[in-house]
Order: sequence, then C-alpha cells, then structure tokens
Amino acid sequence: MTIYDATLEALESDSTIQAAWRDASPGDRSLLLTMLERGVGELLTVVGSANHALWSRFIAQGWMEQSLSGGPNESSPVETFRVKLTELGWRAIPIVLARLRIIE
Amino acid sequence: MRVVGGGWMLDKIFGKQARLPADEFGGLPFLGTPVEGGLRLTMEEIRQFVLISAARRGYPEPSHEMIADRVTWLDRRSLPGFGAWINELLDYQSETIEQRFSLTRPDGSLGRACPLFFGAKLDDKLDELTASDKPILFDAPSNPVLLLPKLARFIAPLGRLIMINWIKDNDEIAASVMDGFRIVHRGNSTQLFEAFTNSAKIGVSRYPEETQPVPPLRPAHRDEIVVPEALMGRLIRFMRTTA
Repeated sequence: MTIYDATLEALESDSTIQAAWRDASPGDRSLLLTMLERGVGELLTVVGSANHALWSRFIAQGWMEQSLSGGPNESSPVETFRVKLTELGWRAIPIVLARLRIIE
Repeated sequence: MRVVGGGWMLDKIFGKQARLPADEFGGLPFLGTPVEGGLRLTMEEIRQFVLISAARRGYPEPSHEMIADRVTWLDRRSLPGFGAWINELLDYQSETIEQRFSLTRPDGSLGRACPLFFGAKLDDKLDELTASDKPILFDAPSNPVLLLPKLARFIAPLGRLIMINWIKDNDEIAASVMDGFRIVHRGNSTQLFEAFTNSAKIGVSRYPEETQPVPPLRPAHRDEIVVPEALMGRLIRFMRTTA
C-alpha cells in the first residue's frame, strides 16, 4: 500500500482527525503548511488547545511525534506541548492538508 | 521598509549617479542589506525582485507569483533559484518572450526553452513521470533547476518520492531525490551547478523506496541568501533598461 492510499484510509477510518480539523482555526491550520514550507523543526502549543487535539491525532497516526513538553511551572504558567514531524509525516501531512481542504 | 539600502554597492557598480530614488523600480525601494561581496536578501525581497523583473521581461501577469514561488522554493533549500532566474532573464534577451515560449529556438535548433513554459507543457505528463519505475527522459529546458519546484508542487499532495537524473553528454552528472518539501542530491558542487544550469536531458522516475534506502532528505533551511555583487549588478542593469 502506498503512503497516499494508507493516508486516505487513515482519514476515512479515524473520524476524530476531521473533527479536530474542523475545530482548528485557519491560523492553526496554516501552521502546518508553514512547518512544511519553511522546514520548521518543532511546533509548540498549549495543552487543551485545538492544535493540541489535532496534533495528538497526527501522533496517533505516526505522522508526528511529541518532543519535550513543559510547565506549568514558575517560568511557564501553562502546560506546553511540542511536536515534530516524523519521516512518514513529511509525506503524509501534505496529503492530509490537500484532502481536508477539498472536503471542507 | 528600507530605502536605497545598497547605495554603496550601486556606487561601485554604476558610479555616483547610481544612487536610486525609492521608486526607481516602479514604486519599490531598493531592498537588501549590503554585506561583504554582495547583498543579503530575504525571501520576501527576492519575491519582490522576481515579481518586478518578470513583469519587465513580459511574462504574463498571472505567472508572476508562480515564478516567485518557484524561485524562493529553491533558495530556501540552498539551490540557485534566484541565480537561475537572473540567468534566464538575461541570457535570452535576444529572444522575445513569445519565442521563449517555443520548443524551437529562433535559429531552428531545439531545446533550452523557457523552463517555466516547459513546466506548463509537462502538466499532462507529470503523473506518468513521477509514477514511472524507469526514468523517463526528456530534453532539458534552459536553467532546468527551475523545474524542481514544479515537480515538488505536483508530488506533495500525492506523497510521492521521486528521483531526478541530470544528464549531459549522455552521462549522468548528478542526481536528486525529493518529496514535496525536501530534497537531497548526489554529486559534488561543480557537478550539481553544471546539472542545474546546463543539463541536456533530465530523467524523472519514482524512487524505489521498497528496495533502496532513502537518503536523508533536507527540508527548507534558509530565510535569506547573499547574492553576489556581479549578479545583482546584472539584474539591476536589466531592470533599469527595461523600465
């Protein structure tokens, strides 16, 4: 099975991805494209945010992996959530972005 | 916004009279930060230079943003996008833009067509090219490195991984492997420069990742580049003479 077919299958079988996508703002979504276009190493968000929900689904599919997280503590009053793309994610997330934009 | 930031360099190239007013380039100030040996340009500054120079060369307006996107895609990855674009502008000034949009040169020879026109001609072949298990060869356009972003934009939403063989004098002089956003090359810097600017033929195929290890692909990693003085001088002369 190609990465393309496997990614479409994941999108069809995991409805929580589309739900998290719908909850994300245009700004949240554009972060993903910026990450791909500019080679941003890591993305950071706050636990409980729309991005946290979306990226957690991507982690479940093996498209992202969680890197260091932190807080809340004296220097950071909120709990943060950091992710980076996996090798599979570099190939799969462009497919996801293209498909979900079409579905919208 | 900076104004006439490269004044000292313009003095060197054109003499004292070269100090440009802010609207020298049709309303845009002269952008860039002078550094030793050239000008440091951000991707936005490169984009602005490309938009204006594409218009001055006579490219149809809807293509200007596309050309700027291709050039900065390359420069973000340490590939010579802006340099190839400047060469494309200047090396074929004896041809009209209509003549550049032909696979036949005015002297009747074939090849070295505008890479942007050539990319458009590939549209209905891209699926076959990027899915083929064996390289499909075609005659290279001029400055063929400018084709890479076209291929990247096509394969990104398909998750494909492809290989490009750069061929000159019937020998492969370099190769590149890429997905939609990352790329890696085989060949030394001399071979790669020759490949990106002077390949006679290009081969494109699906990379056989089931049987071959995938080399480490590198994502975009630059937000600015330093453009050599001589190259900027050539572009500035072009922009002044076509204003």
